Amino acid sequence: MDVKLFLDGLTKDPDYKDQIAHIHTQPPREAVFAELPDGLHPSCDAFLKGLNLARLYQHQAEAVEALLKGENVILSSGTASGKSLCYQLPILQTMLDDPEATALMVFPAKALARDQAVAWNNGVLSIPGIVEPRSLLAIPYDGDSSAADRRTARDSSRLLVTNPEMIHSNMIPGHGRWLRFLRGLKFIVIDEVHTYTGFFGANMANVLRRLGRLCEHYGGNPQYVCCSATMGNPDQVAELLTGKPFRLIDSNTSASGSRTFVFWNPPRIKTRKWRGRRSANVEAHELMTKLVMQRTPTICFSKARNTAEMIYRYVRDSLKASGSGLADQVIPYRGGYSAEERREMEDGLRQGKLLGVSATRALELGIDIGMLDACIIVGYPGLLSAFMQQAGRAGRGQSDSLCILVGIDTPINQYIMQHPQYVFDRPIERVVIDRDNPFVVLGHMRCASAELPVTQKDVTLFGYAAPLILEVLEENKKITHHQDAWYHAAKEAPAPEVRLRGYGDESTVITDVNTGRIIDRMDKFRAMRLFYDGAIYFHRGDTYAMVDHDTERNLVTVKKVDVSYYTDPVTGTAVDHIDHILEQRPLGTGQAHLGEVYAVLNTPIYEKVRFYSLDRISQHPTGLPSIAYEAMAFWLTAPPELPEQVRRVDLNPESGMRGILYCVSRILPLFLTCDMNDFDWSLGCRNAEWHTMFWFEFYLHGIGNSEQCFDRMETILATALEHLLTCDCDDGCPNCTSRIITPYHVRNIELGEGGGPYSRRAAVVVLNAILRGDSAAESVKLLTSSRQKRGQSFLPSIVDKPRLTEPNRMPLDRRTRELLLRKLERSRHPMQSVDHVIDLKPQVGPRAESEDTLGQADAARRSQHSAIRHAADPLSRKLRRKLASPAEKKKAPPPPVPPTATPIQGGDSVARRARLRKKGDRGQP
Amino acid sequence: MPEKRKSRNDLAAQLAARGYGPDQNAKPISRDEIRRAVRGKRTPSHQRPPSAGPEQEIIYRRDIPRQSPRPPARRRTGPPVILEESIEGMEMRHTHGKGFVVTTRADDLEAVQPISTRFKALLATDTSGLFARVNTVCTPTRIEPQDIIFMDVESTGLGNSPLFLIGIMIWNGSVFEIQQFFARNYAEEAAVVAFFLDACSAKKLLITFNGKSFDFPYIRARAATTRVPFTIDPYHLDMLHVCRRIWKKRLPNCKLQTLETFICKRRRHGDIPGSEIPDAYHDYVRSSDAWQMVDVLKHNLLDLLTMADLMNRFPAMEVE
Repeated sequence: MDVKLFLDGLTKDPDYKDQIAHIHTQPPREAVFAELPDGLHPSCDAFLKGLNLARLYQHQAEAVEALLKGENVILSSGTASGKSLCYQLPILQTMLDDPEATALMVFPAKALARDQAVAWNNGVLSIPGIVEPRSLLAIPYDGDSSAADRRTARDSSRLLVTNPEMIHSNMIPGHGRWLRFLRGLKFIVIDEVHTYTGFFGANMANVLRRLGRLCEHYGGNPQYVCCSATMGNPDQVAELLTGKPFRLIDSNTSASGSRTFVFWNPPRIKTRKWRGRRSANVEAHELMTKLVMQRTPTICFSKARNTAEMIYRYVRDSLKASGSGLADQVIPYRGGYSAEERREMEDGLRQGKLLGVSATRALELGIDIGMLDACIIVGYPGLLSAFMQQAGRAGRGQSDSLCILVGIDTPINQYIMQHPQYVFDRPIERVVIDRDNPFVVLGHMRCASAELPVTQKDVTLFGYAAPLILEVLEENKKITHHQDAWYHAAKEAPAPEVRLRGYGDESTVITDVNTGRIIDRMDKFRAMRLFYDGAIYFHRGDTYAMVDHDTERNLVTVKKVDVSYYTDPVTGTAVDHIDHILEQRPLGTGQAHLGEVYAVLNTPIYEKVRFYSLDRISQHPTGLPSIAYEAMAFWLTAPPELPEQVRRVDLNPESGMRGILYCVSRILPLFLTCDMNDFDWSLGCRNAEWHTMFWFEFYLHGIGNSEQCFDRMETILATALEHLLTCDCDDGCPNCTSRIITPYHVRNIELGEGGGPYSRRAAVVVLNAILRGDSAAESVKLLTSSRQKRGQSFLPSIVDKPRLTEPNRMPLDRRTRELLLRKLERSRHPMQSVDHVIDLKPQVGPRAESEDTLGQADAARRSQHSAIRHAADPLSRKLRRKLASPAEKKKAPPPPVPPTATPIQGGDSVARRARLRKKGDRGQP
Repeated sequence: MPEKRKSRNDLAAQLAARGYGPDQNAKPISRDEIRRAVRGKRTPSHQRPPSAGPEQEIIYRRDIPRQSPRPPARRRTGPPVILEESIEGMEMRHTHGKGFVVTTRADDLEAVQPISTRFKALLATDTSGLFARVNTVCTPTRIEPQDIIFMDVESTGLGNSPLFLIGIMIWNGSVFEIQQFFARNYAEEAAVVAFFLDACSAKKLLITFNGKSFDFPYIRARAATTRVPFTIDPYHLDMLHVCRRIWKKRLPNCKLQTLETFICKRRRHGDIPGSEIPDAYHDYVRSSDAWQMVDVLKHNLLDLLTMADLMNRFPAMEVE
């Protein structure tokens, strides 16, 4: 596309004056080609031709050669540089050479895996004269596969395309039946390595350890291929994930045109008090409409599913109004659509039939949609790597591309609009995976013992904490020791209890009342925020009203309506109460604690908002129950007289404390191996003072991060204080006290976080008083003093500092042991509702499970497997049914249903309902 | 118009009217006999008198009254039961380790003799239902009783969890003999699998109940896990499918226990339910108290016997 012409058009238009905050241009790049490596099977050429490729780029040839030599390779060569081809060729070559050879491809998302399987199969089927193409086909193996498909995958697949969960909970627990596959395993491909960060990454590393152990048992010796988007330390991450040495290939020798980044700030509107700038969504839709009208293929990324749908709706409506007939060539794309719908959309994009797509992050991963010319990003995605990944979606071959970042009216986005160097002069984030985390390894060693007896050799495999973990598991009667090996000693299979991605693996099904079709699936966490009485839900740009939300069976029904508004819930997570204090100690003038808390996700109210004008029509209560989750937390209590002292110097103590909460959570990655999103935070709770600052983990029963933070609180807080003191902003900026919106923290579509930045000055006063005992006046004096006196002479940019190069080791002492035991015990407890009776003065000190309950099976100890329970529902499902229909039971059974009607009955499970409906659909003419 | 589904109780009543169901006149196998069979040497001190029930129906009663699971401390008061002392068996060695083998012969259990005799007679009769079914699986091979192995597995849980007991029934010259390979801890599993595979490799026909979809692939998976070479490939008669074809319409379900009650007209009292067996085994490994293992071995033994008994009762195939 002609970027210059388009931009000139915009700058000259009086309506768009002063909207462009910054323009940054990356130069074009020439392609470097290389010959195919020698000795490739002739079928590989045909395979290439089948994919419409003739030559390889240099980095591709290099990767293929290294893989054929038997090296492990990590590819990190940028978006659309043909990474999949690098592993497809060696795999094909090996499979042709060795009829027993098998290969495994792992993708973090189902859609990606299916996509890759289709691409591979197209290539294979185009090979002329191939003897047995069926044996070469890729077989997808995921939650959607039927029992028959799974059997085929197990018994005859040679190239299996799957996801981490399937490996973890289906493949390796039943490894005896995968003997053929595991014995012949030659390649393990792990794509989208950059998604395996934090908790998920640690889990994935342990799943791969277990898989590797089994391969070794059966005599397989696979090579690893990892692919990743741009990130700070791809080779290190690949090594941490797989435990093998890697060769890094990160040069990109594919061709690209120049790339122009435009920072677009919506105009100020001063008519309303609550909003300073025009809606970024409305602004983005105008830009997108303009581009589509010029026949420029455009993708628009926004953060939430709702916003993607809304932008699509806006664009569709304005294209319709323009009468250009292009409205059909624009689509929305997000997670939750059915596989067929998605496939159809992807095909449309790939073949160039479509001109515009309004997408969520779902399209950020490597789903093949061909290339587009322009990319609009609504709101900074929070991570530089994500920003670059999204921008990389635009740019076709040698032609120039355009990427527009539309600033939302939030502190962070406005900061970025004014400081573009925040994006362009910063190294890309590094990732550290704490694969030896005792709390993560605990679950996986339990799984491992159920798969094969754990021997002394495996103890070294699972990292430094393995001996302690075996001790703990044996004490907890989960495993026993016989003849130099540890054996699993309980009936239940441990794998389903170990979840790889934290919360939210229950899924809710959304059904359209009029057609009876399932139109969407989403995790329960999300559904509990979106479906309430009066909620408006978007699907392909149309509005639906919620009819019913069955929170027990995870079923939602919706009905198509035509309304001129949408609904916007206000949600948030916070600590509800402290359940139990494990440890406490004085810290400066305050007190530091470590303990177990109940956190809740609340969605108390929603607003009706008119399209386009964004007028807030009204506010309503949602009536949704809050979702409770048990979490580990550390917290800091300020001395009771402190808030008053801060108020006396004309500062807001609450704002200050929120600033501290934010700042500390941002610098935690410097001290322990965690992600910024691994911690959430809140102020005060039901059985603590309002000026208590909580940081709590996002994962069920914690993964040891809180303990490490608690131990290092003095250092962490001191660093935070220094950072706050030396920041050059006036009273709060994204670098110190304001919060970047991430997908986890979207609170409101238009307002984002809402509120302004928290006060840096107040934060300094509070923290200084706690740590050094300085009075408020002294702190204020320090704030106004010169830089040198404040501490560092330059602005420390926390995000630029390299994170830890090595993960932290937790001490293997009595306390860690107690905490591990406690974690096991807690996971055996029935989940209590959040409304249970709480102690106003929580107990202090560790707890241990009594000896006589240890022998009991986990299932007997737990009332329900689900970790997410809604709070306001004290009745069990059975009891509720009994109470609801005492008479119905005695009634005669209904007359037999004629087979043509949908045979769905009251007690059918969600999956069964879906199956029956599908059958019903097919049966009807 | 599909036939209206009858409730289970109706069905049981009707079955009883038609002559199915526990046989009131059948000669019961006495408790002493059973006890002799499994040779429980020790009589627990707190043994309760058998509850007032229809004594003549009982095929056996557990020595130790069974109650719903309670904490271990209260559950057992008497001294622990030592497996090697209370059950007559022997430790046997194999290249894959050692295991515990319990052998039950006809002179140990009276019920074995008539079942064996009848089985042999029917197998030699070309018109019998038993012969017809065996023949459909094994044509053209002619099967003799000594070519047959019955098998039943007890596992420690779902999925790919280890097994701990494989019971087989083979022809011992003139009569059936039951051998049970038992793992006294998880490490002995390999030997148990190996014992079975050795025994099976000499036989032509494997007879199981639901073995095609469960027992056989399960043993294959466990053999892979424990690295025991799995080379057997016998003819396989899965009685579940045969029984379903014959009795499906008449019985509420085709579980082995149901068939035993309605077809063989025997009943077990106080038998350990299959669902409790895994926990019982883990409990045994943990505590070395074999009080429940005695029951599990009996359970397995009776399953094997019932399989042979059921085969004796196969009706002749209808002439097409």
